[in-house]
Amino acid sequence: MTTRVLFIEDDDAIRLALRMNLEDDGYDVVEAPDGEVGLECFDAGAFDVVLIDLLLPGIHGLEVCRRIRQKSVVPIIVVTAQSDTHDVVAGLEAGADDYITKPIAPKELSARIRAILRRVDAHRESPQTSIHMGDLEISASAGEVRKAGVALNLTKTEFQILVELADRVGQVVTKETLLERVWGYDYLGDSRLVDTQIYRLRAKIEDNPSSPVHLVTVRGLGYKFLA
Amino acid sequence: MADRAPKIRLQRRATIAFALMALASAIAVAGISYSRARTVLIAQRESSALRQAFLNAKNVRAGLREDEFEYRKVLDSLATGKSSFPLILADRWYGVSVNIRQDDIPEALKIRTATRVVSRQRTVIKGKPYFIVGIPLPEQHITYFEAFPFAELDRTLGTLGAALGTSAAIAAVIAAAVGVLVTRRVVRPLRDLAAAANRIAHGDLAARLDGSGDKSLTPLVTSFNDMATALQDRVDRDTRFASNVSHELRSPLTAIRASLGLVTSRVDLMPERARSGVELLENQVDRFERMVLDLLDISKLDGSKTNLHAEAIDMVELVQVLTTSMLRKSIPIQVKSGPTIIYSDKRFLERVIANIIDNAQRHGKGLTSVTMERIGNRLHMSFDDSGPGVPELERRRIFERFARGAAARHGTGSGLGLALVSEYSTLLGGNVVVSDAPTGGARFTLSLPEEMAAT
Repeated sequence: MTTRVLFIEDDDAIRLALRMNLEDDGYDVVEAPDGEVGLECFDAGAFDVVLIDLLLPGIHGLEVCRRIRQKSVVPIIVVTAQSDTHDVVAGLEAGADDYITKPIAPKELSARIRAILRRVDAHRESPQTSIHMGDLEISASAGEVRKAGVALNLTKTEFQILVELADRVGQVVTKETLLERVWGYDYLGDSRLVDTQIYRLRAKIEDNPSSPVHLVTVRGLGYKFLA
Repeated sequence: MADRAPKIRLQRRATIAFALMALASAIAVAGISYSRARTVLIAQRESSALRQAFLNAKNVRAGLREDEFEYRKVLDSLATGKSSFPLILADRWYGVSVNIRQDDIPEALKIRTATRVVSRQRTVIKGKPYFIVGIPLPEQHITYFEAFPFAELDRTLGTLGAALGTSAAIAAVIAAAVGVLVTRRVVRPLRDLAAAANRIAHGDLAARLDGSGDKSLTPLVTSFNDMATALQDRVDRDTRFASNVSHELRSPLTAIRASLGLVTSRVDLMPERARSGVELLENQVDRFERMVLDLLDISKLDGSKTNLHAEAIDMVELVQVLTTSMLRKSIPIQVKSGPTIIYSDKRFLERVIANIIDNAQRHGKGLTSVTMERIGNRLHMSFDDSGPGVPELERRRIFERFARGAAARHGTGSGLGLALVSEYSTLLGGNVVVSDAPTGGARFTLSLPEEMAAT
């Protein structure tokens, strides 16, 4: 089964050239020149991953990201102009799983897509049975989390972070470890990726996200999961 | 400070002028007051003396009507005490005091009264001032004289003069003090101006003067602030331009990279010469990209938009990760003394180390070893290469923007790599220097504080 990529980017040359590169790497790419077309395409077909340029004419990339996230847990990678602008954090908060900075090297883009998909496949094939943690029930094989019996709608990234932390209950897991195990980054990954995902995850599994009891921050070190 | 001297001189001059002016006007006022007071006091004293003399003359006349020729008796009955001394000139002089005798009466007064005219005169008797009134009494064929000592009036005037003089002196001192305060107020805006200009010269373009003070200085403050704002706008515009240019270059660069990717993945299908062309193209795109990114980073520094984020970083780990990913081999890292963990901004530090490794790769025939040593609260990291080293004369210049050493003219670097190394390490509270490596080649020593200053 070929991987289907939705690529929303307004620069024709970039869109064409990157599409051809991704096709060389075996991906099936659907192009959209703006947010409106992008959202239509998303509704029309099933995609394994979505690439969104944040600076889009018409509907802003952040809004596109938010709307897709509302109806789907599909992995989203946002394309930003600069890694240190507010765009990155805003994109991650809007629901993106990862980001990539222009100028984009085609090889790096392929690598990021592969990493995000491997993550998705990882739990599908996970033989582990379900883990019970207080009112949380994590079923790794089904890729499902229930809170007090109600299924939670977690993205794959959120799910894997939860699994990584739940596997080491009570132990500190560093941001570097999470970046490496969840995103496939080496030591140099951006720790903001972890922080925003933890924030989103808390909103879903904690009764009171501002004073978490399960996902606890260990200052200067990382995070730990408490039952 | 060289620019202090004229200001001090200005202040002192203004103060002295103030004091002199005040002294002059105080003396003038005191002088006028004194002379007016003197005139009035003397006139009053004279008229009261005159009144008393007439009264006494009347009494003498009345007394003589009863006791003819009993001059001494009549004079005694006047009972003037020491406040005045009466005398009668009849066939001879009659007086009651040894202090005043007929010789003491001025000749001019004697002559005038002889013509039966009431006269008065001020004179000095035995060194003391007197006011003498002469009243002819024709019915009795005598002239009545009365001498009033004015020494007391002189004392009063002396006291008044001293008081006025003291006041003048005090006024001058107060004026000098006020002068100091006023000129300080006048000079203070000049000092503020000099300080603000100095701050701007040292790169603080946001320095402005406070316009809330003296309204009369508003034009100066306004024009200075306008100038500073114009300067800041200009610098901002230049910085923004550099930033925008490199920002805009990102999109075409992405397209070029992606297009090149399509070609390089088919490089096997190409003839030898085309393959070299693609390789060359790829290198130049790499270089161009690095230049754009470096330029963007540098312009970000100029715009001071950087926000630092400190976290614990193990430098051994960071250097290992970077050398492994950049050089695809591990470089020996010798730790002379630890700990090698510092609190700093990882992303900035990553660029610094990557640029040092990159520079060694390009111009130093590759990185050979890394040494770390903790001295006090600083971590010193030496990066040695096996290249030709950096000549003494170029050791400062190579850290300047687009200043490239003689060995670097092969057209591979961005010309900004070492400038970024230097400027970023300064930003992180550290510094970088180049020297000779013990094994030949160049040694770049990066020295960073254990804890980056909080921003």
